[in-house]
Amino acid sequence: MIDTEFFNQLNRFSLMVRKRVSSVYAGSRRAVLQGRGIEIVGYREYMPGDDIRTIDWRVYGRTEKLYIRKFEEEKNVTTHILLDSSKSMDFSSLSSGMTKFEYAAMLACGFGYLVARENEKFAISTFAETIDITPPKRGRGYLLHTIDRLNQHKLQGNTRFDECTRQYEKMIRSKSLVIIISDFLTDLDSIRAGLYMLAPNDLIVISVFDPAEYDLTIEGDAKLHDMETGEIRKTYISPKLKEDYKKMADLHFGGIRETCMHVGADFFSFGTDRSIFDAFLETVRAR
Amino acid sequence: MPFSFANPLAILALSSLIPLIILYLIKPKPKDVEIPSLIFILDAERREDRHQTILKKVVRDPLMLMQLLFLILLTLAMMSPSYVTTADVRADHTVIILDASASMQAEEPSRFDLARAAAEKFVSGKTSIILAKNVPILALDSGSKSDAISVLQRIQPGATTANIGDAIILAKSMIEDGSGSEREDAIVIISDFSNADFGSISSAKMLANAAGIDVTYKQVGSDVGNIGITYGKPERKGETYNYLCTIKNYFNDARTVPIEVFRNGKKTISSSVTVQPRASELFALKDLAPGATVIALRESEGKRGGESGSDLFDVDDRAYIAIPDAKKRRIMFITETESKNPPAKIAIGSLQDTECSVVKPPVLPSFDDYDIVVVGTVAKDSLLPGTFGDLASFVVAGGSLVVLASGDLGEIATENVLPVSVSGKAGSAALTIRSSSEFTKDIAFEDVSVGKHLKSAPVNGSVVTVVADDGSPMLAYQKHGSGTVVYFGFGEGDPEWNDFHTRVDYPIFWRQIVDWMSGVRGIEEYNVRTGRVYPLAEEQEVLTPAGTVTTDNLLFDSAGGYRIGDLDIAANLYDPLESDLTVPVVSEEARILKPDTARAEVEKGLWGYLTVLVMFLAGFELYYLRARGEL
Repeated sequence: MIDTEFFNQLNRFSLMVRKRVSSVYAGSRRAVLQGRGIEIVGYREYMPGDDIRTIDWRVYGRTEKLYIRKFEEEKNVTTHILLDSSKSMDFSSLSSGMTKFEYAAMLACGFGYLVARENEKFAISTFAETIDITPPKRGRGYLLHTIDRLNQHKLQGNTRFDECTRQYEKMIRSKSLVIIISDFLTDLDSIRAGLYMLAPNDLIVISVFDPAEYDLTIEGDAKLHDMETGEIRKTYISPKLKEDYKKMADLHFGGIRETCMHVGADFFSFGTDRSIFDAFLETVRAR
Repeated sequence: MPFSFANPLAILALSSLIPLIILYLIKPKPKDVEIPSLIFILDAERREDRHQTILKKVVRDPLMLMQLLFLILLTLAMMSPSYVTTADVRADHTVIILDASASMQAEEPSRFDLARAAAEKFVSGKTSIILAKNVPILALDSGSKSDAISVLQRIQPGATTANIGDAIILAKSMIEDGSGSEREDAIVIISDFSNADFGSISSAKMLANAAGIDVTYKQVGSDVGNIGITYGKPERKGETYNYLCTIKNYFNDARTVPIEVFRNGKKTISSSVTVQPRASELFALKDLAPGATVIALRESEGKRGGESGSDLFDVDDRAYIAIPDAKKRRIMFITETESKNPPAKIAIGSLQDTECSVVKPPVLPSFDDYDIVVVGTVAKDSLLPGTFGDLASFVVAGGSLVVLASGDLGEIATENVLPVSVSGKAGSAALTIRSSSEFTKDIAFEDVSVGKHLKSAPVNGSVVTVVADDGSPMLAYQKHGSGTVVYFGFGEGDPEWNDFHTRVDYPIFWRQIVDWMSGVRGIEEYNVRTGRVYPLAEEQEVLTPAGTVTTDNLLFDSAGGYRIGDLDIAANLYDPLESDLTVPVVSEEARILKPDTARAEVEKGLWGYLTVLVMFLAGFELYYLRARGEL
């Protein structure tokens, strides 16, 4: 369950973080791209293929030449938050019972809250085997609606990261801020492919893990059930296997970090035992 | 393949499995754990050792399986299982008899080298090696494989004949003394079988076979020709020595052999002799001076190197001759005979290398200046009192005394020096030789006609060589201190007593007895044939052709010069049979120079294999635990 107390915390500290957070959303930035907008930035002669609605007839009246109006593109940037809702996110080893999904959802809502407060558009879409695309909207009401939706969301399925990002990328019309929050427990190549697809956007990648995932607490004979695939593995968890497991995890997340560096994305990794507010603050400060 | 167990009760050790199985049964089931990050577990497992992964796939609990296997194999090992199978078997104890006779030195590489190489193939776990010379020589008694190889590399052939039959008998007794069990033992004879006494070999083989010992012949060498000195003899001729030898040609064509004679190291004569095929020629030397003389046939040296038909046998290409230094022996002849020349005095006086002084009692010169004192006919009152006492001292100090029978001898106080005690006179008698000695050699005492003699009896410790039919010793001797006393019952040569002095062998007898008493051996004692054993009084150093040895029983097993103290002796092969290098056909199998193996049922124990397996399993378990990071 998403704890709304977190928003109160954000409110209390909003003054402190405002300046830094202001750069997170696009409201204060001027776009450099030209496109459809309101303010006219100039004219040029009509070329076949141009939208005839953009012809300035007044200028034609004066010069008898066809000129079209050039507009400044809309300067507001939409924030797209992709939240992993695969079955593996339903894991918790903490006494508080906080799952990785709850933690990730609170982070996502935190970003949504900040954006909504500036009256910018945002969307929190969940993904697992497929992506549940939610259109970006403004307003706190929309945020509350999203929180409600996330609370009701049932976690299931594998993570098909590359497929989901491919679908979502088609929906993004202009350069946006994309925040991905996931445990990234899927094939590294799939993750790389997905990140490259979203690379043209402003990208923030947040990895969420449970402490027990990183340091295996089990040992001896064990019957392991994979949460996503349901695969069962009977094995003996020896100290050597634990050591190798940790190396594999380091290798996996190291690979993601390296890809992020390559595409110019910010990468953060948080254990669910860490205060959400601290994690959120760290993410914001870094920008 | 039936299995048997030496210690079947050890199966009780399998009960040790029970606690292990119980532990396995009460072991808690694996925990069911939901895990989101199974991919890392799978990746980590892939990183593990491939064998471990396979093991894990095959068995659920590899450690348990290893422990079970460990205990089962340990129990099996304790039960000492074995099975019976047919296999190629070789003897446990092999006695290798290597022919070390002179003919084994023939050919290039030598027959002995071939035999030595073949012998190495026959070396088994326990090996003995006997060198078959004219007497068998034990080179290795029940040695290990490395001992046997080491001995084989050291041994060399001699210049003697080979008595293989005796070697087989020795080998048989060694095996019987050593084993006494049902083990497989074998005798392998490796020889050229040249000049072999197949009669004695077959008899000895049959004896060994009867004792359950397998005897195998292996033959080396091939027919080759030879030319060599097969006989030689130095002979005394007056003051000097002559030498005569036979050079025999075993080739099928005539050969001319250059001959060189070396006297005391200097070449003195170069000659040559042509010998017809399969024939012999004589070669003689005159006036051999004291010292060493060597006769060398040069044919072989010029044609060495494997040329067809060349002489490939060195041993008989040289003859060594030793001539002793002539030394004058001083003899005092004490007699009262009116005749100036009694036969005994004439005989003694005519001996070579002697100086004979005839003296008449009672006044006698000092005995110390003489080697031999001969007491002839003396009256009972002629000798001064104490004369025989002085003679006794002379003998004790190493002198030699010959006392001739005379009418008054029984009445003279001889101070118990004589080997007989005279009791009176007796008439005619027939003589017999009771024991032969060097000085009675070739003397026909039986033909001597005796008309009168002294009745006597031998004293304790005396040796009687010729005795009359009434039991009276006619010729006897006795050691007295360091010297020797001889009683000569024939007197000075009175025709009334006997006719010995008229016989042709009378002077020969005196030469022989004087030589014997003065320590001068016959020339044949200085020139011996190889293979002779020469007992020495004590262990001493002997210079041999092969180097210096210290022994008390010298075997002349190489041809050449030997020096024992200040005595020089020459040894030669002089054996026409050994020089004949023809190799008789023994059998086809004998030509195959490798061990015969037989298919037999053998019991093979598995204890060793199982123990190794248990050790390996224990090691693997430790490795497995270490790989899991638990050690």
